[in-house]
Amino acid sequence: MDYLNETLWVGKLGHAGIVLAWVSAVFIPVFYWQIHGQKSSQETRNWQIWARITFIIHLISNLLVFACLLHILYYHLFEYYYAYQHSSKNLSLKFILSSLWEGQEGSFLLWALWNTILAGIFILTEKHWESRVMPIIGLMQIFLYTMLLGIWIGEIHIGSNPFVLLRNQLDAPLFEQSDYLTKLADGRGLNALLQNYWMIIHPPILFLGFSLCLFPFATIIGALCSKEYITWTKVTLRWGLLATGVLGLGIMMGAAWAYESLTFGGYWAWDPVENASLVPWLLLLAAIHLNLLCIKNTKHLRLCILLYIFALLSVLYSTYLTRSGILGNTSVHSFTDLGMNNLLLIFLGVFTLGSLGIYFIRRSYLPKQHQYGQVELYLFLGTLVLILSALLISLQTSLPVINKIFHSQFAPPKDIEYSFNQHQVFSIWGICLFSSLAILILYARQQKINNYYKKLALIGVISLGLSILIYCLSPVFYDKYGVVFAWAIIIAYVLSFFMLCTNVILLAIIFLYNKGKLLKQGGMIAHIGFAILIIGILISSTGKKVLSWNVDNFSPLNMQDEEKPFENLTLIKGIPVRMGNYQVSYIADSSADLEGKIYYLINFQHQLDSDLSFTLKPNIIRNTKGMEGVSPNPDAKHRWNGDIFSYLTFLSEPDSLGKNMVEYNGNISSGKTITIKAKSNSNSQIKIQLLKDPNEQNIKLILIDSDGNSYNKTILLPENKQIGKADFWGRIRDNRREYYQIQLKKHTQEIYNIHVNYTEKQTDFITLKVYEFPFIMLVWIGVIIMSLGFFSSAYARYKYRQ
Amino acid sequence: MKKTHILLLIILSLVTAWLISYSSSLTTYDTIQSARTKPGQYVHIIASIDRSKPIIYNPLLAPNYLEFYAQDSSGYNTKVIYHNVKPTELEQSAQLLLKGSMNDEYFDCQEILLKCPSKYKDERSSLENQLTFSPK
Repeated sequence: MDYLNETLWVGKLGHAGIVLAWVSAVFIPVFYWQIHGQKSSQETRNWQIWARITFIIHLISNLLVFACLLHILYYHLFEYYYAYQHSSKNLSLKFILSSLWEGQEGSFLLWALWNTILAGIFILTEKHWESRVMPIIGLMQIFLYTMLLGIWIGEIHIGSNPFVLLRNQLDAPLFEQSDYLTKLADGRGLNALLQNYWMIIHPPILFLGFSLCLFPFATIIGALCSKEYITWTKVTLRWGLLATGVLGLGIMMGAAWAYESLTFGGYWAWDPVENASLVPWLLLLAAIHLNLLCIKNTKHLRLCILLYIFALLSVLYSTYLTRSGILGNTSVHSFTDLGMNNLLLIFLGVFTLGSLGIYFIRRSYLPKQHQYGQVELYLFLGTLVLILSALLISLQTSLPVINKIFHSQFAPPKDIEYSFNQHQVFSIWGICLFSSLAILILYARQQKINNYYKKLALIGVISLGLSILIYCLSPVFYDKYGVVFAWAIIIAYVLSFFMLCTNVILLAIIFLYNKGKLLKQGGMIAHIGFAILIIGILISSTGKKVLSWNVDNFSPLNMQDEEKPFENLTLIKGIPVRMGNYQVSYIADSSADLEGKIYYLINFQHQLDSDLSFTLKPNIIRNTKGMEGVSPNPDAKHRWNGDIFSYLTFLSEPDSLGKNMVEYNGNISSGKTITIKAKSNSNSQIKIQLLKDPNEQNIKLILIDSDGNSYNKTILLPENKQIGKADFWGRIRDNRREYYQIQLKKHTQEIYNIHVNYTEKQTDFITLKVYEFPFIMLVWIGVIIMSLGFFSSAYARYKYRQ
Repeated sequence: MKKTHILLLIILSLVTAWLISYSSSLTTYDTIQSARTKPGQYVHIIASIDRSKPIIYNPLLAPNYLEFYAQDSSGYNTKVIYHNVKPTELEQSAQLLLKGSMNDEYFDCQEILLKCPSKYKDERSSLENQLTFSPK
């Protein structure tokens, strides 16, 4: 059958791009490998030209595929499954981008694109390493594009092509009609929770971080293959620093999204997907610190190599975890199995066996120096803490994998967050302590301070004293989990202040006395940021307060048995309720459908200081993809000393969102009556009458139901309302407690345009949770400073590379 | 013994200590029947909502009280009390993962995870259904 109005060329072009990208990816390692071992320089040159041309073809086909996918989403070509599945017509351009990486294929594509762009930058900046590194990049691209190929070899389906047509993917009677496209009203839209600005920026940054992990890895493998054992350390350090900075930023952008748009009441929940990106970051962090050491001292060269290898392997492993559907019950991120499982496992297997194989073949040739100082010791101990931390997190996250391998039935602990926190608090001890000691001694060594112990001890004592003082001024005592954990938190708190003070004092000394360049102090800046981040995490999570404690046991449902109060509170419109220092009242809802959202205005009136009063506007957004109901989006009042954070936990189904049953649309003037069908019973009728006050100050709407009862509502008319603008909307209720939403627009001086909808129920109450997060700003400030530290460090190492 | 060996031993003992502490905090997946044999113990139950019994939830009177009946695949049935708000898609859910502990009268639920039909494997067939019926 010939179908009408389909735009098939884009899909064909896109798929051709995928095939071209795959083929060119296969030739990249082949050609680059030929460069080695050519006798004449002319031959080498020729192969290099071929290799580069292949790479450029690969880059162009990457961009082409990306552009084609964007095209089908932007022009709403719902004949393509991907567009139908992930987008809808009401999405603005920014969310069209998010819908591109909502699906697995799109995110693999994004990853592949970053790899290619970074490879281009790598070729331009690290010419010496081009021919060694590119074969490994090529290998990675082969795998990524295999996931997108979507071809059948015999009975086996390889990869998932994003340009597959809806009618080929699904089997529905609709496709028996040649003009089926005209009947597809809209796509299924972007998941409601992803309709947040962080979702535009967080995935690209995170994937950029993942891509960056590949480059130190590829440099090391390339170096080991060509028997270079030490020359790579500066290259991996630059790229490793960049990777750590970008990945850390990406992870914390995800945390910011979770804070703003998810309702687990915080920015971090130790969800498997969060852990899966944290583990590579911790390993990278360990790797760059040892890498720093390896430039001058090869004692820990082997461990450093292994760490870079495992950083990439953990990225691949987390890809497997999050995309194979194996996490099932344990994660909020529900990626479904697209049949890529075996491919992902092969992908993981090849990289693991290949990289570790090469490492063990070359291991005995690696130089090993035994000279050892204190800086090295503390750096090494800090690294061990990071490795241990990463190991425990990944073991805990792999519980579903362990269950699958051993056919066991272990379920996660009762309190998942605490099961992580109780161990990870000790990582904070180790990291803060060892990094401060290492940086103190390193400074002394650089400045060639004789008799440095005295001076160091002085700085150490000052910062420790300061930290204890700060602690005494703002004591944290968190005894929810017993006294041991409470003290573990206190020590972590003091040590993170110790780390902050030490680095700030040293940075000040370097500026005041040594006239150092800020750019060169990236390490210290990153350490300061890290310490602020940890302090922010400790204060905001231990000091998290529930404001919406429901202590009134006015329930008839026998709730008095329970001692503990509950976190959800119901607010009835207009009736203030006390929460902490605030009188909180639910004032109004926006009722209008603003990009699919309804906002609820909640007023927080401070009891003592009216300057501290504010209004929150948490909203709800209608679910997409055929799911019923709505998803709540929190809102927070940000202050320097803490956030008040609130979201709706229950509300009666809102009515003005989505499909309204429009019942009447016409004109009415004063004294006239319109008749419409009653909502519940189409046989009976109700009447709506409009009466205008003689002095034109208000309008009275009278609803007469089928039993002859009348209900009325008076509307105060504002002066000089513009004609054509919605003057008023409101609801009237009849005897069956059914609501009619009425909208009036002034048409002419006398005639009003009237618009009546049936509505389900009046949302005159909401149930919500309100939390206070003290000093949460420190978390975000810490992340920003830390990232700046990483970037300035990476830049400085590139700028002063000789 | 070399320094590395001592270090490895320390790490190994730390990991073992962690393993013991962590594995003791692990819980189990149970059926309603097996959960009854260990009252008070924290378990995970995979069940579905029993639609023949009423769901009690009144946010105006008690926003933190939800009562409903759940049944598992072997046909056993229990009352569930959850001191929190009613998840919006409870009625539409295909499957529930209930976390909490059983007592004499009911399952004292601490957390509910919903599995909605459209989210998981039936995605494709649900899409096909939609395409069959919805277009006007």
